[in-house]
Amino acid sequence: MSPEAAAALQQTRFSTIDGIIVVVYLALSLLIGVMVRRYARNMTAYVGADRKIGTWLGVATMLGTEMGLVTVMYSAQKGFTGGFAAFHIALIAGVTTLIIGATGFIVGPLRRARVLTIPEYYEKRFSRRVRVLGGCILAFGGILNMGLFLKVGSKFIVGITGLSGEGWALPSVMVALLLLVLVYTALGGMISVILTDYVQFVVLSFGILVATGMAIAKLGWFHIFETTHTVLGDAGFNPVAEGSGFGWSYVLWMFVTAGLVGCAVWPTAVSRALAMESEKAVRRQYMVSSISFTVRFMIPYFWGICALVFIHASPEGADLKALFFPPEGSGVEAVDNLYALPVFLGRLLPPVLIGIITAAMIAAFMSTHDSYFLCWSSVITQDIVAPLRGKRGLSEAARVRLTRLIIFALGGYVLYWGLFYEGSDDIWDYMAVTGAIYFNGAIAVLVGGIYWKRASRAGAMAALVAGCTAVFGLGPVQQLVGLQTRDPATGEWVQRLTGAQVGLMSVGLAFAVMVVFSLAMPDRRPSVSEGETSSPAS
Amino acid sequence: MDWTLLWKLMLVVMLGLFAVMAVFGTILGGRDVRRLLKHLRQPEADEETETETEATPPSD
Repeated sequence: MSPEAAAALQQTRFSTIDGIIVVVYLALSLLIGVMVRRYARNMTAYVGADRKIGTWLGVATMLGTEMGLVTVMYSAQKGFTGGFAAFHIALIAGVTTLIIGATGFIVGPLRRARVLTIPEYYEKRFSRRVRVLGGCILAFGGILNMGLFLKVGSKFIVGITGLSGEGWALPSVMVALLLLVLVYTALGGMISVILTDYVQFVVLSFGILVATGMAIAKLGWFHIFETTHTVLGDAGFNPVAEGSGFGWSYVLWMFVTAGLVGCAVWPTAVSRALAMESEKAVRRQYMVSSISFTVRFMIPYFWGICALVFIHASPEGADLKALFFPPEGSGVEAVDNLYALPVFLGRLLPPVLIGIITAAMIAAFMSTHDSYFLCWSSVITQDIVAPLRGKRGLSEAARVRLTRLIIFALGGYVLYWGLFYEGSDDIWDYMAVTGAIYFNGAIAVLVGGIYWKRASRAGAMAALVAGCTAVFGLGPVQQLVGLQTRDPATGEWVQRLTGAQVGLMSVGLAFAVMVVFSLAMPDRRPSVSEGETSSPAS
Repeated sequence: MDWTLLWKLMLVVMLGLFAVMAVFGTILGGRDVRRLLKHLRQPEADEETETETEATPPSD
């Protein structure tokens, strides 16, 4: 980063009082984790909060988890580059969640099955082998998926507070945030996650509403739309227009990822449904949460658009234009557009409010991390280690202890990935592809298992393996297998298939093999009954 | 299709709904938190009672 860029990024209104607000908030979160530790007596309480979460607490905690800082950052990036055309993803997410809530599709039967994790359902419906394989794929895809969280989140903190984007600041912020989350998640499990998520919901909701209002007041309602049109043209509004960066296959892919998977298949969202007090509460929660599933994408997109307008057409952001959009042929490297949002907010918001918003965003960061740490660690404990031990089993205390240990191991991985990974992928697309390694197979197994009596163990195993073909959507893998080739004239990589197209083909393949293998290799014996799962908590 | 109008409407409507949801979520979510904590305290109290009963020697 050039000295000019570093100096420009350090211009912020973040002051000492804002720092105090952030520290007080973080201390409060830590305190909650320590205080509720005594309630995590067994695995059901530790992972599922004793299945006693009411509808509105479910709504609050769902937003707290699903609107993480990483979501804010990658969504703002999408809004910054794609304009209002990105809004189609928010629309799809909201409508799909509403339909899931109205019909109870997937989540209703899962709650009735009284399982703690999705792979546990695999064992109930199919076999222990399916559970272990599903758990391994889920943990692999999920852990890979959260690899960039820490780095992206820390970039927001660095950008909004005006810390140096290089040197010690970024790693220090990463280590401090990570330690905080690890301590309170490992101590209190789902109970502390739920309680801190509630506090985060309150701070986050009012914080983002105020910030959005201020952005509109500052830039002007009509000015935002006009400038977006000037900069991006029709492609800034129409997601299927040429040059929008989306297209029909992308829109269809979003129905799968941001829609169906985001609310009904992704484990961190489903774990909320499984912890609710009743199926009725689950469905009601999903219907209300359709608002937050829309807003969690829409508002960050809008903030990204506002950052674009601020840089292009506001006197206060004029110095940023040459940094984020250097003239072609100038040889100057553009500043990472992930910094656009925090720098915009750092210059827009007044003191105190900037502290509250920063606290809210750190809250969002923590609420995502704690849920993900808990989710993946409990999957490894419940769905891989415990079933593999067979009859010897694992005691309740050993499960809680192992889950805590894995949480710390995952923390080490996330820190390593954050410090050393140097990828330049679009964050949302990276996450969609890594997540698809798990969910492409899981969709077929869940839908087949719940709604098709003839779905067999062989079909489930084949579908889970077929879902892994989503990995061919990742840029480096595409280059390795020849799905991307270098253009001899420009030297740039040219895609033969986009990540969205690979993802759609992979979903189709998973469903196809589920049907073919189930018909060709039906189960001889009935599936494992509910009482035979290896989880004592269920 | 007028995409600009669609996104303007969506932004206004969803922001309004979200504001209402934030108020309801804060008030009713707080009520659910109190219920959850009440439930979590209950078995702990029961366990303590059982421990105390076991520790008491038989009267004969």
